[in-house]
Order: sequence, then structure tokens, then C-alpha cells
Amino acid sequence: MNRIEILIDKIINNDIKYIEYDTKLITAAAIKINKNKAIIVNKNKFKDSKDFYVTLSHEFLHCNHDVFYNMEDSIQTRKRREYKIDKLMVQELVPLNEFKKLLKYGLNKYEISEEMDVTEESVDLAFKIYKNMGEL
Amino acid sequence: MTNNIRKLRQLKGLTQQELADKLGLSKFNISDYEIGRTEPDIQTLKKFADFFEVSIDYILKNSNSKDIPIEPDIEMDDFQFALYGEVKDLTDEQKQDLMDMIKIIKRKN
Repeated sequence: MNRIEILIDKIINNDIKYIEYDTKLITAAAIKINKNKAIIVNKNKFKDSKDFYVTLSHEFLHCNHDVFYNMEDSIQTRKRREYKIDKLMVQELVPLNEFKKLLKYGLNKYEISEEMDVTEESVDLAFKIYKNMGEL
Repeated sequence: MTNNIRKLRQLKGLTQQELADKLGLSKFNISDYEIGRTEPDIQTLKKFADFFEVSIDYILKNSNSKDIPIEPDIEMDDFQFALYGEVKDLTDEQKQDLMDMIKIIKRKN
């Protein structure tokens, strides 16, 4: 099993529905209806398997930490909740110590993303979040 | 008077404020129409009909009319969500995507 299949297994074992659907615009979403949680993805919208894995990890964290919003929530509220999940995601996929080590070696964004097997956007996010946390 | 305004609004994934903005009405107007506290006049009914692309008759009917494929069991309070990507106001198309997703999950539950 590859890491995506392992993650999908983990999602299902956590009683979260995993659904692949051909959406028009939305790439992926975590949705909670009453107490039921689901992750919906449109596989056609991912650039590559790294993008798929990172997105799926992000949506799984939403479900696992019960972090959602509703239609009435302000943009600020949504941003705060997304930031919380981004932070958890970065800590999981781009652990600080390893990230610091690669930065110290002078690796660029692309090289770090290859080394850590995540998207370049995740590396940007890690840099921003760890900097906000005062770690860099 | 009972009507289908609330159902139609929810089907499009709009809040009362958003629908009000689109039709040049106030949120309180929408709220009053939905609960039947006041009745929309004929011009307003026409606005609703044009916007939702249904007949005035359908809006006024407390009905199971089959003239549009409506799934009335999606309540805005029923669900929460989180979308991947930059956080900004959802477009009407994104809202429609979201509503479609919710219908699919409901069917699978």
C-alpha cells in the first residue's frame, strides 16, 4: 500500500466517509452533516500525488479535530480555523527539526519539497507558520 | 402564507443576507417572507421567480411540485464544512458544488 492508500484506510477507520466526486470547482472538502463526517475529493484536480496526499491530510485533520465552519461564519473566522489546520498539517508533514536541518544545509524550496515528499506550497506554508511561531 | 423561498434559497447555498443583496431587499424582508410574517408583492415575487428560474406559482405553492429537482431536506444549520484552498467568499458555482456534495453525502448516509 502506498501512503495515500494508507491515509484513505485511516480516514475510513475513523468513521469518516471518503468520497470521490467530479466537482466543478472545489478540489476537496471536509463536511460534517449532523454528526457524520465526510471527505470529498475530485481526483482530477490534483497536480500530482504529493498534492493529493497533502490535501487529503489537510481534510483529515479538519475531521479529526472537528474544525469546520458554516455559511454564516465570517471570512476571518474561516481563516482562523484554516490556519489552525494548516499549522497542524505543517507540524505533521514538515516537522520543525527536519525542516530546520534542511534549511541549514541550504536546500531550496523545490529540494526541500522533494526531500520531505510534500508540495512546494507546503514548504512555503511551513516557512510562514514556523516563522510566526518564532521558530525560524 | 407558506412558500418555497427558504427551500430555494438553501438549494442555492445562499444566506438570507446574500439573497437580499442579490435582489435589492433587506435581510429582514427575506426572513419575514420565509416565515410567512409578510407576503411579497407581485414585483418582488417576480424578482424571486426570475432569480430562482421557477414560476411564481411554484414559489407560492406549499407543494411537491416536480417542475424543478428540489431536495428539500438540506437545512443550512444541518451542515458545516471546510474547503481546501484560499479562504474567500464562495462564488455561486462553488456553493452549488457544495450543495451537490452535501446531497451525495446525505444519499450515502
